[in-house]
Amino acid sequence: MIDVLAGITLNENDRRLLIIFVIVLVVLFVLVGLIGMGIRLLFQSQGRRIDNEIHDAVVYRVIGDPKHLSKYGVKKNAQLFVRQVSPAILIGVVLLVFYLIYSAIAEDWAANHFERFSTVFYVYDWGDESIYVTLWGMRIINEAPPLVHAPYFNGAYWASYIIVPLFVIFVVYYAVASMAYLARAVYLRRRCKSVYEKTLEGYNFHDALKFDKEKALASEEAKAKLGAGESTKG
Amino acid sequence: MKFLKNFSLGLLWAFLSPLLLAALAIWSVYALVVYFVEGSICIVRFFKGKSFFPPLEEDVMVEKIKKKELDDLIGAKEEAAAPAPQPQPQNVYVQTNYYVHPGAPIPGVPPMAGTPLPGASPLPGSTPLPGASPIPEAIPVAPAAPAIETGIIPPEETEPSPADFGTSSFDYDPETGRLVQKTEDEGIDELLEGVELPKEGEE
Repeated sequence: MIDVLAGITLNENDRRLLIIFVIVLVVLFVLVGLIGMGIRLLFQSQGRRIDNEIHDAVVYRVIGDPKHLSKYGVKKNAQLFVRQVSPAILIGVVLLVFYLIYSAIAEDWAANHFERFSTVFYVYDWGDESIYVTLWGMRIINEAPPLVHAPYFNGAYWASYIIVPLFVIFVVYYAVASMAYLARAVYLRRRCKSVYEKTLEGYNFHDALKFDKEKALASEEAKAKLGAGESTKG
Repeated sequence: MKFLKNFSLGLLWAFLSPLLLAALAIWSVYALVVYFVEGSICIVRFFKGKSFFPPLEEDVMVEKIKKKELDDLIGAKEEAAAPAPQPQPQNVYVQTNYYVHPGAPIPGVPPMAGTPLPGASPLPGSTPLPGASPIPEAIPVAPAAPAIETGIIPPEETEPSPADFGTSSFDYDPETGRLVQKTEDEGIDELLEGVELPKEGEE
């Protein structure tokens, strides 16, 4: 092992590449962690919304057992999901109707609308082998890829410019609403257990019999003040 | 430390994100089915003129409890805002007037039967003045006690005579209807009438 490590020689270029590679790895590591944190926090904030729906029925003692709370919570969760996802479904229905009408009129059922929509972005040639270099058996990028085309609008692709954005909005909106529905269901299961849970954790039967020093001192101070007040009156 | 704990959990969630995406995809299909079922119920209820979602029994009970609590709170506030009126002390001053004229009631003497007390309401059967209050019922008057029992003889109604006014230095002349001053001797003689004076030398 030591012989292998001793045999490794780095020139100036390799050394720079190694440093850049390590920096990129660290940045990616931090980014991934932050994205995971964001997803977890979003999941938690969406899940706590179920408390708002079932709070009154629990606090006013209308529901008294976990099974009843679970049934009630499932109904309230479904109603809330329907209210939240209705705009997304409406966008999806409008998108579907538009796609069917356009494809029927233009007779263009096999069109790749995503490729046509990509004309509004910068497109690079990531398949060019000249931009890659092999380092310790790994293929890493060495320079910027060549540009294929800059953004431009093609009049013939006007339907794609409507269909693709609507589709993206529908997918993202529906995914977020579904994730919220899933998060609330997970938190509902937790609440059904925790709300009616009886626990003796931290309770000691003999604690009530122990001498409470602070309470005794407080009562003594009160007695002293009362005695001083009576003497001044006399 | 809390940030590091959250960061590490975030890394864990990022590494488990493929599983989360798979679970989300399956849940989305189930959610779509739930949406079509609930949505159909909502559309049917909408065309029947009802609300989108059927009211749950638990929500109805919660609303009843909240309404009852609100009514109790409003009732308690109204009672606190309008305290019960306390009875004002009434000072009643009783003034008793005694008039010296014939027929006036004498304290301790029972009135004659049939005669109303001064200031009392008119006798039954009399017509009230316009605008006057309605005639109340006659106050029951105690019958006059017989003279033998009480020992008090009520005075008879007679015209006053000069003797009622006692002796004075004036005399009443019925012819002129005026008072005439008596002579000195007449006045002294009347005063000394019936009085035996001691003779001179006697003590």
